[in-house]
Amino acid sequence: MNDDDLLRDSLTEIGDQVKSVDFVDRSLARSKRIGRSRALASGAAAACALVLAGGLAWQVALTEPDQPSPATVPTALPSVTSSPSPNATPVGSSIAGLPGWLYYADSERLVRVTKSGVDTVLEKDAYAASVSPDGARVAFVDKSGKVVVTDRDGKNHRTVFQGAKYYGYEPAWSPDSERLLLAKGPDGEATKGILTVATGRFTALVDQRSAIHLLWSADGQHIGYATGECRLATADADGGNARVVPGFGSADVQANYGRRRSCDPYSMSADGGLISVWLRKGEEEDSDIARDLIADTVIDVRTGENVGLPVRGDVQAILFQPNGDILVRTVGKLTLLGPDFAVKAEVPEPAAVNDLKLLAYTPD
Amino acid sequence: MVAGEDEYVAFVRARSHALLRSAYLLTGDQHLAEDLVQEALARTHRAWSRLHEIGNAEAYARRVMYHQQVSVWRRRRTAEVLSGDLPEPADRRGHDDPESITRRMTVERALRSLSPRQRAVVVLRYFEDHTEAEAADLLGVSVSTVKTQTARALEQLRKLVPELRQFRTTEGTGR
Repeated sequence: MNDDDLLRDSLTEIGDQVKSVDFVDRSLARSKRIGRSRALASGAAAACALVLAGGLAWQVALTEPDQPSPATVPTALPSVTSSPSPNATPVGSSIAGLPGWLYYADSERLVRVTKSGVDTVLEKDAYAASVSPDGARVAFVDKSGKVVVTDRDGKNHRTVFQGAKYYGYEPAWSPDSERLLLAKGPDGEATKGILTVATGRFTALVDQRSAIHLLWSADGQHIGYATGECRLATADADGGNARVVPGFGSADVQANYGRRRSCDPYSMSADGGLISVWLRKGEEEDSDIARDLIADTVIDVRTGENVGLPVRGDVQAILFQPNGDILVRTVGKLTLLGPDFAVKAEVPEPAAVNDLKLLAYTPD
Repeated sequence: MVAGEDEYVAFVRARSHALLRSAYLLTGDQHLAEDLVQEALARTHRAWSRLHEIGNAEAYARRVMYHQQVSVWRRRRTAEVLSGDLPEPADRRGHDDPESITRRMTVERALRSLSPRQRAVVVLRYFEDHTEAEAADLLGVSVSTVKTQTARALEQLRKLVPELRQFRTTEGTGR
């Protein structure tokens, strides 16, 4: 036996001393406690507004291996009984001083803020719900995998697809409010693709690499997502030409100061160049696949660097708008920034939504 | 809350003892090892749907475990425990010849003298048989850090375990 074997054998013998333990119940109980702690802490996600360097150049290569590109997969049309007839969005606004409509949600309820309070849009199934960019429709995936589209008031439910994934693949609307980026498949499998609402046709993305929490830029040219390892990536709208954001989420500490990463992309800028995320750093635990609707940091997808916002306070959400504006939620306040980050409006947030997450902001 | 709960349970039943063995080497204490594995599995459960789909749940659990072990609070707790007495020498797996027990206890004592990160690289490299690059990835440090920590750990082990004085390091080989 050489000395190398001696150390290995000694370590094996030491490891053999440990007594077996059943971890099923213990780990599940601990998991629940973590979940409760996170729910309490998420309302206080904090970020300081620091102006950091912007981007210099696009990354030049992928860091993940390519995977086979599946063919386009048409699916059987769902049992559509009526064509969509979205209600016209009424002119108005949720809050004086801030044009447009604000939508908030928790894991079940989706509400729209009105000047007199909130209107409930969905009583349940808001966990995987999204409001269309034109504000006319709401889409959600229920726990059974049905994709349901309603009007802006949550009425006129219409099932447009079945077999969609629930966790990690909340539907993202196309800029024209006609298609949804989501995933389908049995447990353990996920085929990401684009669902045309009017026909129920599902077209798989050309690149099926690991991706969760899909986003779609308002110019229609880019999608964004988190990889299974809490990195960020962007791609063309068909899923091709995927690029992993450099540095960010990398295990190489020299390329990724502070071990910055996120499994929670929240919103993508109109040109696809910025993604807002719930940032995790250093020894902080990664979040799970559940949708958190929290963002405290903007990441430049070209450089992987943080981008500062001229907002003070604990940032809770950063929502990019099709016209380039950025809505920033801090405790008790909403700030609307222009594309140049100049402050366009600051308004107090209604107390009625204190315990809810900001889901969408649509035009008036 | 988490999809594939049955699969998670099957994963825990299949792999938790292997995790516990590594955790015991990292902590040198049954209860601390259990704490470490419980936390790693709980966080793996929180991320189960994502991890299950990309097929690396065990790697994630191990990553959590190693990061937890070298984190500040755990280092403090571990240091308090490791300063105490060694566990009773009874051998639970049949390595019961006096020479084997003596050597194991000597190595065990020597391991306890290492820093948490040095202990981690030794376990990763010589118990789990990871490459330097894999160990660096799991610990979230550079390969050069793994090389350095390994060299210092082996130097310390050589001082304390006579049988290892001629230990041939494999620095620079990647294994």
